Amino acid sequence: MHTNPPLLSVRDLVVKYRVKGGRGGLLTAVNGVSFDIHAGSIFGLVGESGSGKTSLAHSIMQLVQPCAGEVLFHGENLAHMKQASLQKTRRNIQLVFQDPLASLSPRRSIAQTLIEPLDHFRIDVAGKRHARACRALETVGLEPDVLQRFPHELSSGQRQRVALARALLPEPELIIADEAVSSLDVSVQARIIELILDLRQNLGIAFLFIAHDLAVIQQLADRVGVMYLGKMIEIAPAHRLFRQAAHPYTRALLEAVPVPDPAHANPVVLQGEPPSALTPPAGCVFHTRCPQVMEQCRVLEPLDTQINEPGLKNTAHHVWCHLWKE
Amino acid sequence: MNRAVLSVRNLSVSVQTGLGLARVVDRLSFSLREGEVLGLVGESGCGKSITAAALMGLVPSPAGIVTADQIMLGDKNLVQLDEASLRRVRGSEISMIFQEPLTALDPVFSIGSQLSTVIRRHRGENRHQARRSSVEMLERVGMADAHRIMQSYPHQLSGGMRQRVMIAMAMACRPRVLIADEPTTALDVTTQAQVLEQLSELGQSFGTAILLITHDLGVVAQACDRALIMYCGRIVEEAPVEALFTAPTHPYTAGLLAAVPRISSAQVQRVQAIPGLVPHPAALPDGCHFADRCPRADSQCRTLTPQLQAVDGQKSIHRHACHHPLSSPSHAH
Repeated sequence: MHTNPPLLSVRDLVVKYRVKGGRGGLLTAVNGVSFDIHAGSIFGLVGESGSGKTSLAHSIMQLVQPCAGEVLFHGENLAHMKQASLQKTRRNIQLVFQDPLASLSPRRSIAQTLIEPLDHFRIDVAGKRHARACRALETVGLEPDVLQRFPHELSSGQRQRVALARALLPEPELIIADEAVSSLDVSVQARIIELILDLRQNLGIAFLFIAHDLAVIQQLADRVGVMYLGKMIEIAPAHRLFRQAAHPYTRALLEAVPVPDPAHANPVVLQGEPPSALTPPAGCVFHTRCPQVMEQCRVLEPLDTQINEPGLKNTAHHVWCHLWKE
Repeated sequence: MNRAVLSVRNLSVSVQTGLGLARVVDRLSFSLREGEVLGLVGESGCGKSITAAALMGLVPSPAGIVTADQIMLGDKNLVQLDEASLRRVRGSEISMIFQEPLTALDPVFSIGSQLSTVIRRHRGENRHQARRSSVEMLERVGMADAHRIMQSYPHQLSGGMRQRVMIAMAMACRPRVLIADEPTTALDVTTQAQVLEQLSELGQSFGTAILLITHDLGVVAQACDRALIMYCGRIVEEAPVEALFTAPTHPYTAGLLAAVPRISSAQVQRVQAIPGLVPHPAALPDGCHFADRCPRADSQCRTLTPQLQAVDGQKSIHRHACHHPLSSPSHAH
C-alpha cells in the first residue's frame, strides 16, 4: 500500500519511571512498542487508563526521555538530534491535549496564545502573524472576534477548536491528539471529528489519535493499535479490527462499549482489573483476565505474529497472542 | 404500572451567573417508579446534576434558589422537611453516588471506618455489627477480599474499586431511591460494564429505584428502563428506552442519537453534529429553547413554550415538548 518511508516510525520504545515511596522501584509505562504512521494517515491508539498511551505520546515528542528504542521522523532519530534541530522537528509535530482549559493559559487572550508559536518558530513577519491566526481560526470554524477573548469565555468545543488552531499554525505534518475529544459532549464531539477528517483531507495532516473510546476511533482511524499494560497487543487496519479483531482483549474491549440500542444484548463482562504496572504478570500481560488463557500464556511472552489471509498484505494485521501461533 | 416512589412536581432552580439570574432547572415534573432505572440524560449544562442536588437538598443557599410544589419520597414531602429531618432521610431513604468517588471519600479514613460510620449512624448498629455489615456490603458489590479493602485508604484503590465502595456505602441502608450522577463516566469501559451490572443487580435485589444521570446514550440503552431527555433545564422528551431509541419524537433527541458514534462491523456510520450552540442559561430564547438549532422550527416555536404532552395525544407514557415532533420512525435518523 505504502512505498514511501513512514512519516513517523516508532521502534521498540521503552519508557520507565522511577516511583518513590512505599513499594518504590521502576514502573515500565511503555514496554517495547513499535508502529509506523504514514503521511496523511490517521493512526488510532486505544487502551484503558494506565495502558501507556500518554507516556508513548510524550516520549515521541521527547518530553519524556525513552529508556530504549527509537523514534524516527522522516527517518531521522529524534533522540540523536541537537537541541536546535529538535526544535525544528517539533514544529512539524504538534500536540493537542484532552483538557483545553488546562492547556490554554487562562491569562492570555486567544490572540496571544495563537501568535506565540509563530513568534517562537519565527514564522512570517510580525505584522502578518495576526492575519495568519485569523486564517487558522477560520479553518477550525471560529470567527475572528474570538481572538480578543480569553479561554474561560469560550465553550468547551470552542476551546478545543482553539487548541487545534494553535496546533495547526506551525503547519505541522503530524498532530498527536491525546484524548482530544473525550471530555466533549457528543454533539460537539461530532463536529471536532468532522474537523479532524477535514484537516486530514484538505491539508494532508497525519494524526496519532489517542482515545479510550473505540467508537470515536472508528470514525477517524485508518489503522488502529491496541495497548494493554504498556504493550502493544494488536495492530490492524481499522476496517479489519472492527470486523475481525484477533486478540481476546481487543474483542473484550469492543464488547464492553455500551451500544446505544436497547435491543442489543448487554455485554459479557470481562472480570477483574488490569494488574499494577509496577508488578506486571509474567508471560502475556493479559493472561490474568483472558477468557481463553492457556498454560503457556502464564510463562511465555507472546511474539509479534502476522495474520496471513488471502487478500491481506502480510504487514497489515499484527497480533501478540499465543492463540495465533502457527 | 408500578407506583411512584419519588414524585417531583414543578421543581425549579435558579442560580446567579455573570449575566444575571438564570433558571437552570425549569418546572421539572417527573416520577420515579418502584424498581425502575430512570435515565436523566443531557449534555453538560442542561441542568441534570443540579436537579440531583436539588432533590437531595444539597443546593447551597443563597447561591441557588430551589422551588418546588412537591418532592414526594414515599409519603414524605422533602420540600417541607427541616434540615435535621432531611439529614435523617439522606443516606438512609435516598442516597447518592457521584462521578468521582475520590472526592466523595475522605482520604484520611480507612474504607472500613467510613463505611461503618454510615451504617452505625443510619441503622443504629454497634461497632462490631457495623463492621460485619460493612464486609457483607463490600462482598455484595463484588469485592472478593473485603477484609483487606476495609483496611485500605481511598488512594490505594483503583477508580472502579472506589466506585464500588461508594455503591456499597450508598446502598448499605437499602434506600428507596438511589441517585447516581455519572457513576461510570470516569471509569474504563471494561470496568464501566462491571459497575453498571452491579448497580442494576443491587437495585433489583434491594428494591431500590435508581435515577441514573448520564450523558452517555450507550449507558442509557444498556442500563435504563425509561429516560428523560433534558435540554436547557427542561424535559423535552420522556419515553421508555425502546421508543426513545427507535422512534424519538423530539428533534433534539434525534439530533443527539445521530451525533453518537457507534461501533459497526460493516460500513462506518458517520456522526452528524447538531448545528449551533447551547444558549447561555441567563439568555435563553423565548418559546422552545431548542428552536434556534432545530431544522423544524417556525415562528410558533420562537414564541410559545411547548408543554410536555403525550405523543399522538394518547394516554401514552411517551411524552414530548415539541410543536413539530417527528412522527414516523423514518424521520428519526
